[in-house]
Amino acid sequence: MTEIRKAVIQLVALSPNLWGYPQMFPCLKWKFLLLTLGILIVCTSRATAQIAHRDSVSLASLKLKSLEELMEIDITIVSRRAQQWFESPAAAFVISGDEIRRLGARSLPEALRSAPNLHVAQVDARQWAISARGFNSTTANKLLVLIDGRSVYTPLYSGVFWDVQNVLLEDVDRIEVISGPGGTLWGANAVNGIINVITKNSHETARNPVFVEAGVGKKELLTGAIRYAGLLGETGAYRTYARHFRRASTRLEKGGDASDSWSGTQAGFRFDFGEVDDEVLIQGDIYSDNADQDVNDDVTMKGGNVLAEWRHSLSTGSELILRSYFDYSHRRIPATFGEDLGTLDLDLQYRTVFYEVHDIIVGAGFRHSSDRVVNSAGLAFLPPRLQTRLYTAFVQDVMLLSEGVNLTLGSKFGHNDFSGFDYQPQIRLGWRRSEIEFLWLSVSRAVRTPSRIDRDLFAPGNPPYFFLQGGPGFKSEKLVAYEGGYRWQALRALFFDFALFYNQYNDLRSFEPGPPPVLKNGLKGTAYGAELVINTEMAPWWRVRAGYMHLQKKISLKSWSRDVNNGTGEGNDSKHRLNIYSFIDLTDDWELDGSFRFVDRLPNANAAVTSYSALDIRLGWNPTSWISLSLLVQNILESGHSEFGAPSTRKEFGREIYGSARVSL
Amino acid sequence: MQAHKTHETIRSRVKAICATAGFLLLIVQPSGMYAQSASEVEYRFKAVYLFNFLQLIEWPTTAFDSDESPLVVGILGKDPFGRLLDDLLKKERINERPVVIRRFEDYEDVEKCHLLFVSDSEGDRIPAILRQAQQRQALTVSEIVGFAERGGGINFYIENNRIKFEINVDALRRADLHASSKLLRLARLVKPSKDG
Repeated sequence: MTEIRKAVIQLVALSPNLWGYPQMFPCLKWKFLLLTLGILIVCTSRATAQIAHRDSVSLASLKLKSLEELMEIDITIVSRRAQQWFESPAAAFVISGDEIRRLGARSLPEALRSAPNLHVAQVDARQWAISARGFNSTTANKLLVLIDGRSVYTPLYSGVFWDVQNVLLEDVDRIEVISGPGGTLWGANAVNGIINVITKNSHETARNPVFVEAGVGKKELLTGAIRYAGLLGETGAYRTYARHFRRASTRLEKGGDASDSWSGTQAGFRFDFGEVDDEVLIQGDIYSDNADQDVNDDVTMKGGNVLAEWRHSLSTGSELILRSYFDYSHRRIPATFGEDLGTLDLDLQYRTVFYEVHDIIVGAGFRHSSDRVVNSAGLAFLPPRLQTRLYTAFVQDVMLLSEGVNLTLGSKFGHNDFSGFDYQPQIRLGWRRSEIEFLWLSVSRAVRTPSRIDRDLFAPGNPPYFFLQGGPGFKSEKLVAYEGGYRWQALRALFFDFALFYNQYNDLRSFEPGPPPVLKNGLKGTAYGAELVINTEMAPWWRVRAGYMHLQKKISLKSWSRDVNNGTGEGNDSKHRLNIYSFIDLTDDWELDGSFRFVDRLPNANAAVTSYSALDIRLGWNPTSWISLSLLVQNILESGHSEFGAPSTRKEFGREIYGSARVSL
Repeated sequence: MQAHKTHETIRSRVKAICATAGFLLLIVQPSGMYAQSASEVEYRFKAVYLFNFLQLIEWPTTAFDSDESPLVVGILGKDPFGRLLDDLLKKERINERPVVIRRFEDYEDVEKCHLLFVSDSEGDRIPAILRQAQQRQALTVSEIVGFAERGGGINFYIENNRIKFEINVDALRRADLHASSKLLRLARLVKPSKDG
């Protein structure tokens, strides 16, 4: 019996197919409505402003802006934000659009591999396990992922269905990856980290009205993308795109074909218009994917979203952002489960500066999710239909204490239908010790609010539910994080970024055997570790970046808990990870780029994965300004390795050769 | 045998590369690739503005010796851009013409150029500089208060922390330069002062 329960737990923890439930909140009776009424908005305030990449003021990026755009940029903010990354009191890493291209990444997860502070493991042809600072699984639930301010984690399990986040990477301006809690500004789920994908303004893509990309490979059988962009009237610009891809099935580690080939098509648009102080953005995407399953009928995934954003600068130097989006997704995994989810979100954010020493952001948000699950014989989400509401508000003040010393104080407040009210305060201190050194310290609290999987999951799919009977009393998982970091520009061409963290978790999810068997908050634990990034420019034509991550995690059972996984159900994490990237401009036309990564063994007894190393090489040739060719070879070192999962079902990834051509007119 | 030798060669080359890399790391001068000062940011912007001006202003064909002649950007006085302009404009072609940057210490040294950036350091000699530039059909650009009113072509100013520019339309006309309507629309237009 215990074995069966274990199987269900594993299913819960490891099967990507299941998890997909949003932050559901037990329908409390609007107690906090009054409180939130004045400040009606959420926290997706991912604060565009929050972290600026050095690229944001590079000559190359400025050159792409129109004169109108240049005239609208507050240079004190720019210079402040240029330094903002350097002076951000958090562990942050930025992947630039150009780097994504040079990595040869063909999907968002592949691009994310380059962030040293993320553990990115491929599970099969379409599924990935991605987390920061531990707790990785295919249903990892402590990471907040935003695409242009749109949250893409599903309230089914507080995680991300990576297989439907198929942004056109050519359009990505940068990806900000923050490890550590960011709950104050970003909101619930930003427990261990935040991934913030920011796409280019359509004025920028309008400079190349036509973009076409085509690629073929051994595994990435076919990729095709087309984008058409242009200017609209005096102040507007637009782009539209469509892409299609086909990926071959992987093979099982134990041998044999995994029958997980899949294909997808996505199309979308973006409009940007308005005057300098009054910008409007409207964008949307639709997609349809189809994936093979070993035994049952194909998995089908469809969906779409539309987002509108208005940014208004007031003469006082204050800024107002209003954002709203609607997202619909449909997923059918025959014989396992299906889900239709609609999300409506509204956010408002206001930023102002008082007396030049207080930089204040306040915001509020509302999100309504309507979820319908198609249950199977094996498991059921009950009730199958559920509507949930989430109210959030936040306030943050960055105070300039003295020259070079900043104190950030803030908190986010939320109310969800499952666990009611929660608060996520933080305090951060940053000290610019000299022009080339920055030190920071922080203490923050973050919560992972309950999702449907924690509360509503029953197994088998019909009574009696002898494996699992939901988690009626499941409450938020909590984290108190202590962090510190040091950035040092040792030489013009040698840069260090170092962070240490100590995380105290409480009320982590456990699987109590019962009777009745339920999910509870029976685990607690600590995780500590370090992240180090070294950036060097060996020569103007040769840039090397190395990243190392160390993690120690200890999870224990509370005295009353009898967790069937004995604390190992929540993630399978390596202690060491190393990656090294090298970007060489051989000549003006030729690029030679390489990436090496080492991932230490994953320890969990039932899903142990041996350590592996992978080396990828890319050769790029740009014979003219409008055409570029690229050849990518992945996994040069070995014929195959596994990255995640239990031995009986996990997949192996071998060598890949991929050639592509891009035309930009 | 052969393989062993090859191995040795590779090893010695790797050593050489490591040594070179180490040496490079030691000699490169400090100051930040991330740490940018406010003024550095300001001149990044101004450099990009100049790049835009070059595209939005039309010089008469008589200003060039031939169709292949380069567009010459001059900087007079203490150069606030450092290598920014060189980085920005190298390899650029504007209206099919390559761009060349020249630096002049004194206005009397100024040779033929199409756009002349007059540095702050030259504030005392504006009338003489302008007189000379006008003869040469050069577009003068500066960041000295009152530069455009006194007869300069384009002048940067800062308003609400944003970089803006003013244009003296008469000065451009006298130099036989044609500014695009877009440029004129974005600029603050100034009239020459009486004593200009």
